[in-house]
Amino acid sequence: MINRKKQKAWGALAAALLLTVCGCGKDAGMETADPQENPQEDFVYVPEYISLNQYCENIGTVILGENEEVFFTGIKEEKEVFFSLKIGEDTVKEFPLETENGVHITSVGKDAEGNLLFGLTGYEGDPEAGGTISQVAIKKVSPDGKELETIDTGNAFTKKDAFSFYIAGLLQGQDGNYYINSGENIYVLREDGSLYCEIPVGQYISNMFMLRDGRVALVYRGNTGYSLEEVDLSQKGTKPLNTSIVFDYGTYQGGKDTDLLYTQNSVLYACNLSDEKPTSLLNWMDSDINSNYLQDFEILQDGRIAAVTVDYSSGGETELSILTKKSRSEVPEKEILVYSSWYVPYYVEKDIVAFNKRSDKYRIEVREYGDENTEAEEKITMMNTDLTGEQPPDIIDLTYCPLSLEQLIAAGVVEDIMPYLEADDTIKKVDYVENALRAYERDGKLYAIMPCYGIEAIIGRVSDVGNGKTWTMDELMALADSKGADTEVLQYMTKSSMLYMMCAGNQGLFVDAENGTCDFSGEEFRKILEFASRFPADAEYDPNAPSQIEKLRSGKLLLLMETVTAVSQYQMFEYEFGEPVNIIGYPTFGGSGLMLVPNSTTVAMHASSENKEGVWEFIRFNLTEERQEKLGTANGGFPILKSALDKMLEKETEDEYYVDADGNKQITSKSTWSTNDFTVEVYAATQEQVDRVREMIDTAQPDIGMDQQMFAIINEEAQAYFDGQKSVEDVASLVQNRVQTYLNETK
Amino acid sequence: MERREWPFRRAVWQIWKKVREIRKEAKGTGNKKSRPPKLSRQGEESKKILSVHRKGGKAGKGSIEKKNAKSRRISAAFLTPSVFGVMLFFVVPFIVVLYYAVVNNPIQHHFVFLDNFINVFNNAAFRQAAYNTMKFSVIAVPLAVVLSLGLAMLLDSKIPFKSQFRTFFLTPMMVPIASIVLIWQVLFHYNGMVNDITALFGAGKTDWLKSEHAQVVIIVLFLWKNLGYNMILFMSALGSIPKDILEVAILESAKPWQIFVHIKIRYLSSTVLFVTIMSLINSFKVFREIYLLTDDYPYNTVYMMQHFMNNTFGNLDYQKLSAAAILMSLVMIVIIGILFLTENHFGKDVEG
Repeated sequence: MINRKKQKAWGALAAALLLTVCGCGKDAGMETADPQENPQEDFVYVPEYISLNQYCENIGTVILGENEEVFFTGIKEEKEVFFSLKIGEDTVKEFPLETENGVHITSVGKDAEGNLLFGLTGYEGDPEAGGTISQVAIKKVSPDGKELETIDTGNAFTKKDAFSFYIAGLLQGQDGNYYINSGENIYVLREDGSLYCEIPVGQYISNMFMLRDGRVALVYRGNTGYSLEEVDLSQKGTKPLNTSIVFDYGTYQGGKDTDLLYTQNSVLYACNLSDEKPTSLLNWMDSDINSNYLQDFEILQDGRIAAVTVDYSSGGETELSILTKKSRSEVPEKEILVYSSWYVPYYVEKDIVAFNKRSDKYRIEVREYGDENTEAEEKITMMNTDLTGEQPPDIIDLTYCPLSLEQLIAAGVVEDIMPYLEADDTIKKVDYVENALRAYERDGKLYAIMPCYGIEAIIGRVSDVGNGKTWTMDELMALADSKGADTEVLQYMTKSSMLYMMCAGNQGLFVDAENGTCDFSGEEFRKILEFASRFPADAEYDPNAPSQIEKLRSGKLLLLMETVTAVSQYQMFEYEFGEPVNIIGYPTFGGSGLMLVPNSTTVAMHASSENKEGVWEFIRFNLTEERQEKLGTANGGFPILKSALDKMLEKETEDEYYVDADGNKQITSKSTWSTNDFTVEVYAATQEQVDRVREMIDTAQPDIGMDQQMFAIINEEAQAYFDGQKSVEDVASLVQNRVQTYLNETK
Repeated sequence: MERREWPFRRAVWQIWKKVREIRKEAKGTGNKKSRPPKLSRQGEESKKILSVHRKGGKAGKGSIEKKNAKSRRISAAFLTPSVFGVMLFFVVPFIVVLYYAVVNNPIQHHFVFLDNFINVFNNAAFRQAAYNTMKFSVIAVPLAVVLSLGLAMLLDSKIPFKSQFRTFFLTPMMVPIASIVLIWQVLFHYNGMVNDITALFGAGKTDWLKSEHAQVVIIVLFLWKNLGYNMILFMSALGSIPKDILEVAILESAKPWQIFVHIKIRYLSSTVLFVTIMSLINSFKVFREIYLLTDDYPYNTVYMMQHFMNNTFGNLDYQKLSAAAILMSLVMIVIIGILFLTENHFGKDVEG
């Protein structure tokens, strides 16, 4: 009897052990797509879109009201009109906005009772070129369009520089005070409009909002990450909010049921400050909403979510989206394409959302690896395991992939898309810029296509770098030698970054990739080390130093290293240098090279994807004429489609006009290029500039990039030379030894 | 009867072992009449127990078989979790590695038979890693065994401060790996203490970890870290040698080296085998220290097999990694097999 009991006990123990062993296989880090794991995945927010552009042109400000209404301003019949649209209705109410001549609505906010606050700014002179503020007022309007009062701020803001002062955010607190966010300062005005205090933050304030309890909070990037602080009127300053949640870049606003709501990495979170971690409510991408375009959102009483987005890349297309929570089973099923990405840049989110909206058959879902707390090495392991696992992604983002294309090809992970391109009825290979198309071609096989790209180049004044199209390392060194010791060759260039630039450009000189050999014993490597050692070890921003433009114009800075994404940059560079410039490639010992760098969603097809047609549809989607003609504006860069490139370049040479008060056509600027130090108004480019850019596109080579492992070895060993510990020969010998081991391994 | 079950099985085992030895001897001596086996004291006792068991068990043969079956079931129940664990964590992964070693890549799975092995053999980095690992093991493992045995012998003799010495040699075992690496960096860095000391004698600076001396530094580190543990194992084994045999040898005027060679070494043979295997395994694990000291791609003299495997894994080159792992395991099997044969040879007439 006892034995039997013992037997049973041991049997149970054995079973428990077995179960324990069986339960060990759970991958903790990777995001799971199993709906059973996350109850939120049982439902989805289905969007319904309403374009607000149907009601007016040039939509300016837009905000959601408390009573399920959206308010926006726009131009109708050449007049600025204030509109309100009740959610669920088709017709808008219009209220004329009466503003004095030269006074503009620059911001819109709300008070605690749901009234609208319009920030009005009047200017003296051109606001973008030396003008000053003449007036700032706040107009309070009830939701039904009735003007309640106008608060004049008196002289609080007059005579401020119009370019640097603007109203980025506006609200009225429960204390009756008005809070104005002007970018780096918070202004607190009493109810009568007089200035109570100015709170300088010193950093760009990305959001100002009211917490559920009425405290006014602001978000900005501090020295140790994003900081969430409350306005402390007693101290006329700010103080950190007491919370253990770590915040990051995103959009923030006060909540009704929770202290605040915020969007980070396209996920909407709700949280109370006392919470240990936030609750994720939804992923905007799942509802085909680009979180980068999000202007405002409200959770409606029936649980639906109203969101307003503005797509500036398509000329300010403004949409109101009503998201209704539905069970997944109620939504028509689409085939899922998994997009594997190390990081999701804004243009990838834009393209995925656009594709998902357009495609009836496929839907792309992003798979990221780990979170912000995951170590890079762990993320790489997770990604590698995923790429070679049983359920691999369909699409692999190449722009931020830690593995090189060569590694992916060697592992058999990526599919040749040339057959898809050649067999496609809607797009033709010959219609695309040849050398840009070849960027991801290896051994006759094509693994990816970059829809939009820029050209990495060095810019210098003609008097320094000449008119030639190429230059050598020796010429660069001679130029540096000809200038004084206090002249910078490139701004913020360090020993390591200079070493990288020169090694990247001359990689082929040191490494014979085909045979897997290297030679760092030559004169060239010695010259590179010696030249790199001239630069400082670290480059720190000095706020008291002359600006870049001052250095360039005074000749204290010789060159700029830039990515050229538009012909109009010529005018900016010439403005900066103050004389004609030459855009020239990276100097090498054998000549110089302009490099094509992707500036758009560049993806490869996974060789094991079960939905290769779907993947190709996504790749093709970004290559179509319609998308290509928008990409240059949206991303900055040149489209790969020849016809779209031609149109873009042609447009660059066309003047733009405005009609003056006398009815005469006057040439006006096409756009402006701005930095912290200057703003340049850009006019039509010359044919010569366009021809040069076209030539650059035709001659630029794909940026294969410096092998990161190889550079890590070179950089590590070079430090001993930079520190004066070892000779060039000793460093070269060590680099040779270690890089050769690396190359041997890859053969 | 219950109590006698295990001694009975042990006795059967002893007898079976002796019978096998007799057969082996008979086979070796042809038709010559072989000498009856010399049973040890333990064997004699077992014989008696077997005899008792047989007498008592004649009446209940069926009962014994039933109990044996039950015993097997219980044994199986106890073994199942372990067998399952071994299958899951060792056998199945090994089969997966074997599979990856004969396919072109982890995506297409085209059978390529020995191509990956040929590629690995032709790979200069693999050959370098194999050579370095073998060289390191060939030097470090015998040193680790001999030196630790020497230390154990020393501490086994009558010397003062035995306890303090023992503690001293065991200290490296308590130091975390990160601290060990830090200490070694402080010592052997280009600007480290060793160079400072050699500079006092007018010697130039040596980059210990990035030169031909790198493996010497790693061997010293390996010995420093492992000698204490090995020494304790040997001290324990030395303590278990029957004192009467040693006393007889002394009475018979045996010299110390004769006692060492003919008695101690024979009794220590299984410990020597164990220490050797452990040191061999640890010599492969020295990658951890090398990696922390010198990163993914060290100076070529300290580029080990695990560097090769680690880096190929990072590059998704699973087929090369798998082929290298299979080759390495084959070499390990051969080495350990040789060690077992050696132990059998030296320890065959020692009961223990």
